[in-house]
Amino acid sequence: MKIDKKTAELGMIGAVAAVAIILYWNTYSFMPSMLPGYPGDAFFPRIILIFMLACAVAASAEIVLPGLRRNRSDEARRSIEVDIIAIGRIAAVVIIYALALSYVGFEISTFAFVVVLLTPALAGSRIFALAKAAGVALAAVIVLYFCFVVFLDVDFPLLFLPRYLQF
Amino acid sequence: MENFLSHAIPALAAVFSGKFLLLMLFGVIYGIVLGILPGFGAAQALALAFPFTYGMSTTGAVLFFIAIYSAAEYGGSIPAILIRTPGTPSAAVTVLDGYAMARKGFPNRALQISLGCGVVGGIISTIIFILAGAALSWIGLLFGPSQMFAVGVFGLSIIGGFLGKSAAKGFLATGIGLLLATVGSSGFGGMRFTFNQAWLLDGIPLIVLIIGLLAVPEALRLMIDDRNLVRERIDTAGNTATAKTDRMTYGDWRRLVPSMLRGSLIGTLVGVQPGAGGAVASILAYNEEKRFSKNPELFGTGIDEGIAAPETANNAVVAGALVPTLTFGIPGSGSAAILLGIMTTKGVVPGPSLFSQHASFVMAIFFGLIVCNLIMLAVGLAGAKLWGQVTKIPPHVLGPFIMLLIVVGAYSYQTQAADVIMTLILGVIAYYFEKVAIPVIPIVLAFIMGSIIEQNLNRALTIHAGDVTAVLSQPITVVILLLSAVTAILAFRRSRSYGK
Repeated sequence: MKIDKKTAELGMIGAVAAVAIILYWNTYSFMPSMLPGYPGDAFFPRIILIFMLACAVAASAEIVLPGLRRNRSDEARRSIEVDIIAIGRIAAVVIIYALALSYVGFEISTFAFVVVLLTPALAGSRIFALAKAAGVALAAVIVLYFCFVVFLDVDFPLLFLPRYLQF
Repeated sequence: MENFLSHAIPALAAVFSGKFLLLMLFGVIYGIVLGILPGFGAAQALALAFPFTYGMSTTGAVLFFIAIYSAAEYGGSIPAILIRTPGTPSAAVTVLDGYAMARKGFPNRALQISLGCGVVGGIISTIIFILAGAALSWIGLLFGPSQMFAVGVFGLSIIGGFLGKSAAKGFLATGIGLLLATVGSSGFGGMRFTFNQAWLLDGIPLIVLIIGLLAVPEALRLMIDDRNLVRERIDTAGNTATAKTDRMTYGDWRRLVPSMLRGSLIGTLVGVQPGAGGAVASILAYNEEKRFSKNPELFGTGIDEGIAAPETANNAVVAGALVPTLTFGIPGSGSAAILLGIMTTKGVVPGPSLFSQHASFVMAIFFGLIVCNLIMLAVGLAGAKLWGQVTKIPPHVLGPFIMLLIVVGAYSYQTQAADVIMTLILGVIAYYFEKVAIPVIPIVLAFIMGSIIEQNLNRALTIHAGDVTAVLSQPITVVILLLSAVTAILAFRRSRSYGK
């Protein structure tokens, strides 16, 4: 999906500004200062949020107002490519992998993660790509196991590989 | 002298211990490989390596990181020379003469210049670092909380104003970083922006933020944007180069000494300025070299000086960036910010007192930088043929492995899926921020500096009974804040004139 760059910039800055306003309102729920006149929990965040809103206004003005606008002869015409489906697919695979780690174990989930992401990237027939991805995935599981579990002693949920190895 | 030796000897013993030498060797190899991969600069390489430091001592982790940092700066020049694709932004200028030289049939000569000059730049700037760092830390000891708060604001004014094309967007990114730093416990006993979520009570973990903002966008770019990318490779058919002419001689090195000295000085000075980084240093060094040259018209055609100057400068930035990082706690670059993060997570607080209270540690960094550069020289020469192979890995194949390392790294922090999801959310936001030219490095820098700035402001306010005017009217504070204002104005002026 292609979006006009100017629209995308304004949309993103607008979203940041909206979040800043909501968070400013949220600061009123913070604990007040214990001593009158001294900084409380909300003191520093409010300064930052006001600063952010001022920057958002300046950045929007830079895009919208012709006088402040930089020479955007090339940029203005450009659009940005947003592949929401690809991002969504990768995000879904990452989230499923992270959640699956504790249920099916590090070995199977990591193997499946690499196969799912790598197979479409490999050239050749689907069967060949799948077989190649499976081989690479197996190697990746072994390397990560030795690196993180054996050497760095990270407490990964393992299904069948031993937690400690004695050489 | 006796005092110096009492710190230098333990530092030398630590640096030359087998364990730390091995760590630095791994760091150098890892840094070169990651530096070669287009889009992966030193900051991204360090972000991915963060989980490997969990079990390391502070000195070990810092030595491992400076090895990666130095090597990644060099690694970026390899694809710039061989396939006209700079691995890091700071190697972009190297393409001009490096690729031209490789096309003429001298790729090894170009790689030797890049490596040799990078090592010289690294060593010279390390010597400057220890001298300047000690002097600056002495000045820093005179500063109280209000002055340190002002120094932090000054750092942010440079970081926000000059890291990116638009100052307004840069400052917006700085604000986002500061805001993210306030999540969790406030230090006054209350909670901020946690929305009753248990996983936010301790704030956003540094590793999650660093991996999310720096590494995830690159992995997404490799898997989505670069999936159809075809890289140009050098075509040396028809040239007359031989193995004998495709290397540097002693005379060639001697001729490059002035270029290396100029590059080292420029690189160190640029590195000291927060936010400037290797890209600025290499461009400045290249332009200065061209100005000094008797044959400026030859620049861009594949001459030695065109590679020597930028390569010396971008490696000299490493030690230069450590000066403000260690003396004032203001990171000179995204990579230095991660280094700062590693130190704070290990309980070492950078600042003026670091040089007096942890002198052996600072000495270990000093000797470590020199040893890292020497290891880099050996590894660079030994693996010259191998590095060329790394450039052949297609980005869309590399992407899944980078993503795997990201997920495993984020998960291994607390073995919680929430950390992975938080990393992913931050990464997707950063990916879109980069699309609309909102720089993400200021977010990381501001996040790390946020707590230091807030703590100093609160301390200063407490000392002055909550009187803001008393805090801000201290003479040194006023001067530094005025400098910050001037910097911000200059940044907006640069931003407006950009592209005209």
